Amino acid sequence: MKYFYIIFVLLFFSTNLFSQTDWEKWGKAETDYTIKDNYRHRNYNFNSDNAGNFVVKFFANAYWFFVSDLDGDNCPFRPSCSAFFVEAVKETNIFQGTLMFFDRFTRDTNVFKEGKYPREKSGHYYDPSSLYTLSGKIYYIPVNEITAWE
Amino acid sequence: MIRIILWKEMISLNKYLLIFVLLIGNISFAQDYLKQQFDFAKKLFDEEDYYDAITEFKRLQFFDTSNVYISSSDELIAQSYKNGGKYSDAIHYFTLAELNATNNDDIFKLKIEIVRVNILRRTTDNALQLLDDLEKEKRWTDKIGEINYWKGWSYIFADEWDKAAEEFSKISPDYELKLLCEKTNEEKYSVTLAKIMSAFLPGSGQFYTGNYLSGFLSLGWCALWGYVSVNAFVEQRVFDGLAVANFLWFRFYRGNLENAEKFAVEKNLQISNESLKFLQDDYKGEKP
Amino acid sequence: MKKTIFLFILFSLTIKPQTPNPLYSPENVRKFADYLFSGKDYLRSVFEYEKLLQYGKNDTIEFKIPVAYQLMEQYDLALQEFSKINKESVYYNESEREYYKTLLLSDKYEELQNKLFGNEVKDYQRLLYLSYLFNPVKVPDEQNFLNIFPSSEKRNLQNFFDKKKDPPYKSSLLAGLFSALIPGSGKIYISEIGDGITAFIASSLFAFLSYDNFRANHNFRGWLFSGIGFFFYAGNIYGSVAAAQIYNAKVDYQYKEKLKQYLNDKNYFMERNDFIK
Repeated sequence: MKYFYIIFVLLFFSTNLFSQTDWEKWGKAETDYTIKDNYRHRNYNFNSDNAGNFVVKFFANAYWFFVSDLDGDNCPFRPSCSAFFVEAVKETNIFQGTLMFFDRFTRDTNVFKEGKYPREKSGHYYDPSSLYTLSGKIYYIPVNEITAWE
Repeated sequence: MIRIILWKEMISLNKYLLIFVLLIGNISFAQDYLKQQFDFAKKLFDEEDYYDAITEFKRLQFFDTSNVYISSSDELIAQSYKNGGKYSDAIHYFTLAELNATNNDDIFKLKIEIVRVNILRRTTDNALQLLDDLEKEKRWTDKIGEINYWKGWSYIFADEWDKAAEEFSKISPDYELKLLCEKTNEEKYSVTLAKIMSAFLPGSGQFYTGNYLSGFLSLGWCALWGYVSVNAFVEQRVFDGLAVANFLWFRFYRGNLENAEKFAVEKNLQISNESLKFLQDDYKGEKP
Repeated sequence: MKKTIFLFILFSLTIKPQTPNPLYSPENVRKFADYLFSGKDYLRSVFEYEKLLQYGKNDTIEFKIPVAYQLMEQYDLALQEFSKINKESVYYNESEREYYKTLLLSDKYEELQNKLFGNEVKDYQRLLYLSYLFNPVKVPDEQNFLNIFPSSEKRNLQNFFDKKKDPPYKSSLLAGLFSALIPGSGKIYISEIGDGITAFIASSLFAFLSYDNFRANHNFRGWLFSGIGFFFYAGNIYGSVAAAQIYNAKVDYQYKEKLKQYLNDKNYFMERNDFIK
């Protein structure tokens, strides 16, 4: 009976499921035994295009180091609200970035988020600042997709 | 006259012999072509040109109508997929090879290959289930050592070093991998202990795992907001006291517990990964 | 006699095949390539077909190669190979159709429209009109559009046509205006009811705190809360405008996905070729 199931599964899946792996030529893969962690790793560097971004990054780093890294992982979003602010200022300017941040903070306080945002691998909601720049170029990700962030 | 008759008979007999011999020759030539094809595909496999090796094995299978090479070619296709990191395909072809295997030794070898791919794919539950099934079957009682060996590896990849040590100890009390697993397990931090320490004294769990700065900051924040909150209650500013206690003190206290757990888990991962790196790069025995 | 038999056996065993491995003969490579193609192992089949072209031109193989690329969604390679097929080929007409279909599949609508504009062939007209459903240069006349498709599909196509002509967008301007008048109402207009309510509560709360502190002559706190309240209010207006844009992007995305699914099921109203039935 066990062999019947094996044969059934193999016949059912064989032509469709396994041929798509080979639609690109591949070579030997490097094996990696190590285990990856799912924790967030902050980007503490000060790389900035201008003085304004540097100041924002400085305060963000200080906030992360003295407060955010100590009060737990409270933000359901990725990037977190503070990281969102840094990204928003980088992509636009300090004023527009601040407005984007306050809008994000309001959305964060809304407890009914399920079904509105796509999920990231760690289970957080994926909500990048690029969606809110009002540039008109929105790369929409459907809610049921799992994205890779970082 | 008799000589002529005999001579004619001899010629006709030789004729049939010639046809017979040439026929045998033809059949052996066909087998030669398939053998050539198998050798060519095997050469590509040995040269680590896995994609093309699979193509040539598939060509062999297509023309091998008698299925002489079916099991061996399926096995090598599976090995190619395994070496290319395509584990689902590897399991598929190992299963096919197992179905066409002709003797118990081959069947066992292929079942173990499926276990090994499951280990690499980190579907260790599947691997352990398959090994449990093998252990229960009476025909594999002489292979119990190998079954325990791969159980140990499954537990290693599942990051359960104590159970891995237990499995390896069944092979031998001073088995190399058993000692490694025990050492890894002993070096690990207790996540539960870290959390309990931080529950009683904020920051102490972080001190336990060597994150002194984080522990000190957690202690400082909890102490500060605790003082402010208590002070508010003492001065009968109940609302202020509740607000500070809930939004500040409790937030940092909960964060302190999360960090105690997170740092212990991260440190344990580091310890596990050191052992895994050793096994990957320096261990000379059989690996998944 | 024995000597003869012995010599025969020896002779047969020592003969080695002088001919190349017959598994690589053109006929056998062709059989193997067709087997790979039918098993959806398209890239391998392409490599085998390309070997065969070294022996000489073959219309079927020259057509199957780009079809394989198209099925693997490698549209640039498919277009390249389809365009190599010349007019003498038996599959020239089919390859031209597949070429335009590939332009549609690869979202190259403008190129398709430029090439097919004014074309009177029915299949090409269908592809041209279908491209208008994705990216209209100008939306064609409704009756002209529907008449070239089978009558059984007119209802479905009518739906898509209507949604393209008049998509259910939300106005960013209206959303911003609503939120300026009543904080959060712009978000409720976008159907983000939870966000709208929280925006309303946040703006109102800080407005109240500011008013209350000014009333109690706590000027510093009054200005602090009014500053924070201002940013929540302005952020709510900004967020409503942004939410409308995201809503419209979602409408476009869902429309496109549904249309692609529908057209895939109908094979873009083209006859399926024998190889992939």
